[in-house]
Amino acid sequence: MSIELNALGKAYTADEWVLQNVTAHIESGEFFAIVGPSGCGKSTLLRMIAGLIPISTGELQIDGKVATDLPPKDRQLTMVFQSYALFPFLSVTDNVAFGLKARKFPAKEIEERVTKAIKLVNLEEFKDRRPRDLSGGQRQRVALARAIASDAKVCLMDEPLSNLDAQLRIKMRTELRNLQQELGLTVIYVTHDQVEAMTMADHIMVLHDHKIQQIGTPLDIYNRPANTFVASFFGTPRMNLLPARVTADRELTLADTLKLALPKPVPVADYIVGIRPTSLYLVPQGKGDPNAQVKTVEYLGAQILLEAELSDGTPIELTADPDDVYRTGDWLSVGIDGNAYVFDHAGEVQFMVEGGRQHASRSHASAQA
Amino acid sequence: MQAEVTPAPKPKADQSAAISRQRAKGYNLHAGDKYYAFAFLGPSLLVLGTFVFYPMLRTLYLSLFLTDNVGRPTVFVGLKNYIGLLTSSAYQASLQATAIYVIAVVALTLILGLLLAQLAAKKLAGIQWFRTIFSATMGVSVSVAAIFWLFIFSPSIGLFDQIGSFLHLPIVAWLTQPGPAMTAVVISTVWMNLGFTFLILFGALQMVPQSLYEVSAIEGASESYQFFHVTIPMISPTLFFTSTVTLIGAFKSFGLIDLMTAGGPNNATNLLVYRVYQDAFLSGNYGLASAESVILAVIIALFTLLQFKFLEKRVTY
Amino acid sequence: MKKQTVSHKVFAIVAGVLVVLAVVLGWTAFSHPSASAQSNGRIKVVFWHEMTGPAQQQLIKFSNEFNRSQKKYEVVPEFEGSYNEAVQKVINTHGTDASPAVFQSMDISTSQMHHTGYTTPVQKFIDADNYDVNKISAGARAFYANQGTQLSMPFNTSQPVLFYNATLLKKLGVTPPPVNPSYSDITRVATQVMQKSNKKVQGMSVEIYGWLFEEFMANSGTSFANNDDGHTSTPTASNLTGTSTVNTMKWLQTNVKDGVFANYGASGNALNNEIASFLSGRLAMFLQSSATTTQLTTGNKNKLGITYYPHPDGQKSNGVAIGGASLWISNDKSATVQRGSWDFIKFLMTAKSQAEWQAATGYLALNKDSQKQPALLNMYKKLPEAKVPGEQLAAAQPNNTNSGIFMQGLIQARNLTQTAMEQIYARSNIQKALQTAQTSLNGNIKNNNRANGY
Repeated sequence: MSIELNALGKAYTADEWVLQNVTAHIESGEFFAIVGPSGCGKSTLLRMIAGLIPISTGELQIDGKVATDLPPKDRQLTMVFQSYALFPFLSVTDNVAFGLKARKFPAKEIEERVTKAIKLVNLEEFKDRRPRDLSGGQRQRVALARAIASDAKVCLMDEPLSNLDAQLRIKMRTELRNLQQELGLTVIYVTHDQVEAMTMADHIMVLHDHKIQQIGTPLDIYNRPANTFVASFFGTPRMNLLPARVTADRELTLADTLKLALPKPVPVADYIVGIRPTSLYLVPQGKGDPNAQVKTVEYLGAQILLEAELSDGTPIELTADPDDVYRTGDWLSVGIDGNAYVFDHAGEVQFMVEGGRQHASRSHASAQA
Repeated sequence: MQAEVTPAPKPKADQSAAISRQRAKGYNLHAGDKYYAFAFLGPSLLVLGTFVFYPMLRTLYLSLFLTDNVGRPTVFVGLKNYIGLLTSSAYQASLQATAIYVIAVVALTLILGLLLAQLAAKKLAGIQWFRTIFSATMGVSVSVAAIFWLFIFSPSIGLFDQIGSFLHLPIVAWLTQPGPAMTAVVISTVWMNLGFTFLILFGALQMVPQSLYEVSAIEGASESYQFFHVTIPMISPTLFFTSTVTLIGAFKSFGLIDLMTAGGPNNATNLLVYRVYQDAFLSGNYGLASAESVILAVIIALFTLLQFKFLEKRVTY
Repeated sequence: MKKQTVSHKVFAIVAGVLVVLAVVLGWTAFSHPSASAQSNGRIKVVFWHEMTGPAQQQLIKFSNEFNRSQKKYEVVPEFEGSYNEAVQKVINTHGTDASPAVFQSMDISTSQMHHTGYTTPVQKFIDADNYDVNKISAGARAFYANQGTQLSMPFNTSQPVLFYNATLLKKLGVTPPPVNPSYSDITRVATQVMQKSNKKVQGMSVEIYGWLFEEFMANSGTSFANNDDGHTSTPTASNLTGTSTVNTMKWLQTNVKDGVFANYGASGNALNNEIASFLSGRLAMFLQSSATTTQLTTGNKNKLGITYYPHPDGQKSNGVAIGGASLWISNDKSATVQRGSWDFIKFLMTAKSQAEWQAATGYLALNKDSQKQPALLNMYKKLPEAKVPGEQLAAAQPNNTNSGIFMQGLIQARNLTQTAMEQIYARSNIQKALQTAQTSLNGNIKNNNRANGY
């Protein structure tokens, strides 16, 4: 079942738009993630689709039919909540059966569906327990089972993994994705965690500032961010955004320090250039031409994360090889050897400079270590 | 103390096993702890003993005697006070009146309290104002309430009958006929109870997570289905608490009865506790009044026990 | 470990000592509230009363006047709540510092108070002083006397009377009842009021009140309890089912059933509602204590009519017993304090005090010389009807059926007769209702006599 969002908007009071002009098409069987920082309106959008919050403007279609003003129960969808929304006074079985009983299904069918759903989420041995006797992950599965049992083909998920610990969250990502594929569910998945969105979704909608910033596949979003917000929101460590100005015909100077050669001339203006830390190389102290000073050093195991300041004081994040030794106060030489994104002063992307390497190569840097 | 008995750190599983063993056996008192225990418990035991246990035992003792005109137990009559009471038609009428009163008060208080709480939980303009009004009776004293209701129920100048006569309805002698008098007393008591019950139930309703209603709405539950299958079970611990408190309170209702009907007419509102007051503090018949107190205490204990046995099972989650 | 145990013991002992100390200190602090009984050189005479409103004000005034009139005693009036509660308070505090020296106790507690043995009969002081009791109303004295001994001094005394709205009757063209009406006189007036007002005005109300029940019996010369209403010896049985009692109840029941009499129910609210209706012109007549007179005249534009208590047809009225309360002297106080109490009682019973008492409260002046006092003469000038209750009291010859019931447990008895009246008003079988009350009452009498060893 496909879902069509057509210029949806929400305002609680006149002219105070919580969401504006949200348009998207969600394919049947697709895993669609809505990502954004807290307060961006992503949960509001999900609740509008669910029918829990009235839609102020625009049109919602589910499976080709207008659903803008339908009550929640008639939208043929289910929802999984961050808090799981389990009934504490009911056993696992009864929790899963809740909707079916409310809809007055025959007892036999209820039993069949509930048993099947519980089996799918591997909770057979816990089916008589109350929610308080289950772990967080098991509760999450009960909520899933309830959604599955209802047989609706659209499932809305509101940060379903946020309350789990990190390890379980990673495990559940895979499970959820597998389940979705196995059942052919259309999932609309709200999260604030860009990694979740990247790893699970077929398409991602990035929401910020009451508007859509970008819709695309995870790769699109990562490799071709539409603006500085999307660019800095996706990827860890975060992309560095450096102020830039035109210093030659085909050259930008970033933070008065780094030079970036351009494939074509650009109009003279202020620019912002985004470079992921992985696209920067560095030469340890004593070698090369020092242009950045180390402020903090974080050992992450597989790599070292450095927070440094360019010579003009602009902060910059760098990654380094774990075998090298860095100390606070060290002067380093930083250069660009990966993709650089050029944004205009309003943050909209202009073009990308591939492999903006100027002097040393990455292999060279490694060889030096 | 604890540091001395706690074993040196051991593997985790072993330690938790030790703790659960200790729990199963109960906490072991050490020689020194006993002194602490008595020192700490002493004052409260003294107070409880003086003001609770001694009076209880004394009441039990007095209930087996006839008392003379200054309240001294003089003639031992065994259970005759009890037998006399339980076979007297007046006392049976009191039992019946109490049963009607308690059931009506508890049922109406809970139903109306829940209704008001549901209304107040709605997000409507000016609802804050209504919440204050609904809980206002909490601040009203019994005597003020009695005056207020007496005015409303009074024959010839009462508000109800004024309105009634204006609408050419038959005049109801609210406080001078048995049936209406009970109704009047029940209405007043429920009104008095409502503020507290409303506040407690309103608080309980606010504590029900919104997501449960959202999931129910999505899963196809109607509003009434949600009320009976989500709201009621979710607030059942609070309902249980309020019903117990209201029940015990209803058994002990005194002020409104005394001020509004003084047990009349024809003993229609002569509740068990009011009878105790009449026999002890008006007639000075302490033996009989003690027997009545014991019966009342047993009934309340019985009801509370039943309530805990049957209701609590269904509300724990 | 060892050292710690010792410190536990010390701690426990210290805590224990502190607790005991606190209890003892508390005890001493609270058990001598009147340690200053003779502060200003005067002997304190604590006076417990149950009067509210104007009567309380007047009592405070009397106490102050008495305190100024001499230097030996200081009377301290203390309000103790309702009549019923005061009885138990007096009994429960007897023998402690908290008990009163002189106290007011209601009419029907007389036998009980006497039998507690906690009081000194005022007869002792009457004899010692050669006090002239003949000045004091005989009917009132008889109520508080037993076999020639005056137990307590009658004080606030009322008569049950019939009040009517004279202005209203005149407006409706109904002839008022005669000054000593029979049952049928009342029926006639009430019925006419009903008819002529198109049922807008209620004819009559007889509150469901054990006192009124007893007064109906007294006025028909019927004993409530055997042994001459207890005046010859302790009663062993009651008599509530006599012909004249049944006839009285029949009279009430018929009229209530016909809507000629209104039912205002029982308890204090009934009186308030009766007064409210009477003052607003919705009720033409009602039976109440003469002590209500002040309430019925202040702020009432209508003319108030008062008659004697109604009596059965075909017989002369036997006279009614008084209501109210008397003054008792506790015997747990020293002879001096008791003497002070007696002096205060004497002060209250002077012609002047009694006249002021009636003028202020509506209770009857019991001193025969009070009638000539300016306070009363002024009052009669304004309201000649105010004489009627006093005349009723004076007209009655005290006998064993109109001098109250000298029996214990009368509060319970009143509950029983009131219940019977409620049932009768609600059209129950009269004989059965009275029989039920009598059976219960006899059981109570039997138990009471057993418990007290009579």
